[in-house]
Amino acid sequence: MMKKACPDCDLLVTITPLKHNERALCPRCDAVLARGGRSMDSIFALILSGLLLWVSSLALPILTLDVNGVQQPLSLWQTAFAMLDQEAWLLAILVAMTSFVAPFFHLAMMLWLFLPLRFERKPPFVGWAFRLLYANQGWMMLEVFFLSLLVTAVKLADSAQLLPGWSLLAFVALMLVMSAIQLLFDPDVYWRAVEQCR
Amino acid sequence: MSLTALSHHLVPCPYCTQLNRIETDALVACGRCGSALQRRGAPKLLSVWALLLAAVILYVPANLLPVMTMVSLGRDSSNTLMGGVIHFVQTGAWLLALVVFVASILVPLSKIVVLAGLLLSVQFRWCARLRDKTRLYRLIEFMGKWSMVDVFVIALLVALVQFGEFATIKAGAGSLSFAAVVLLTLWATSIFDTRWLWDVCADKQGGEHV
Ligand SMILES: [Zn+2]
Ligand SMILES: [Zn+2]
Repeated sequence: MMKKACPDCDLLVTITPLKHNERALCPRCDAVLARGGRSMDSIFALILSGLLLWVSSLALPILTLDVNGVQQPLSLWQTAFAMLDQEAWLLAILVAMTSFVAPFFHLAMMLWLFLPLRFERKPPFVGWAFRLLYANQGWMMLEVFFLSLLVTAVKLADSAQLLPGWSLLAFVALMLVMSAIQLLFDPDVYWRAVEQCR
Repeated sequence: MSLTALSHHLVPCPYCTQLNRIETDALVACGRCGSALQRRGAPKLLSVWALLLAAVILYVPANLLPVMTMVSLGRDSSNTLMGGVIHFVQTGAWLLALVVFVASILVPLSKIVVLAGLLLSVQFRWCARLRDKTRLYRLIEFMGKWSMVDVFVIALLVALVQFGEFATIKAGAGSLSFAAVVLLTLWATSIFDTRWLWDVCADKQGGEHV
């Protein structure tokens, strides 16, 4: 039994322990207050695979541009930095930020928060790391970038062809891993674990 | 009688969800994670209105100015947001027209309208259907970032066409204005707190029953 305030309507709700796959909803506004069966172990594995996928999504070409048979493989970072030459640096920063800088920062902060817990140690600057994680969260737009890739491929169809590269696979996998991490991460469960390892 | 955290002098930490007892209006560090907390005061309606107004003003150049200019084979063509949708409809790319229309016209417009409605609801204490209004907020919060699709597409086109060397594309002022509109509405949405909707109705009968 514990008391929580609904983040959306401020109602005080008493939550009984939840079983796996159970959710506690706010009786007044339907906000999700808690989810049952959150395991810290699976989050840690997801963070590590996320970091690996992040590296692979940048290492190889994400797509190949084919203009009348002339092929030009392009990596994710090349597409962002190409705009810097075009005086569109604001757009370049926006694309770089949302498609690979912010996701990396999220994974790095997660590792910072979860690695010491594996050794039952409290992470240094845990409060700051936690707030940075939250401040960065809104800048991750992997799914939106993926949809944009599809729209661009159709839009270019008249003059050029876009062929998927190996890194596209890693990018899609990263997208799924990131949403799994966000779904599994429960701030309350995390902080109770931190409090246990003083 | 009210059953909210506020009425019990409790403030939930926005970061770690811990309930903190706060009796004054001073800044207090969260007992669990150290974040600065303050008792929720009057709704900050003015800042949300200001951001929303800025978004509405920028929405005009975002739609009138070309989002990009393409020079291919000596022909020079400029595209506005709506022009892009119309082009897809004319060439029969219905699905694409729908995606672009929803992402770059329907979503930002409905976001602005819904947010304005929610602000009015707080301002004039409209206490009907608070649950539905809270749900509506969650919907626009979820939709917001999908408006960036068009901005990303322009960015990708500019980059790809440069490598392909079959044409030249320049990102126009329209795309920058549009990106600003999306970021401003995202910002306005993040400042808006759905608890304001419930706060102003706490002393009214309706608030507790809906
Ligand atoms: Zn609620
Ligand atoms: Zn806290």
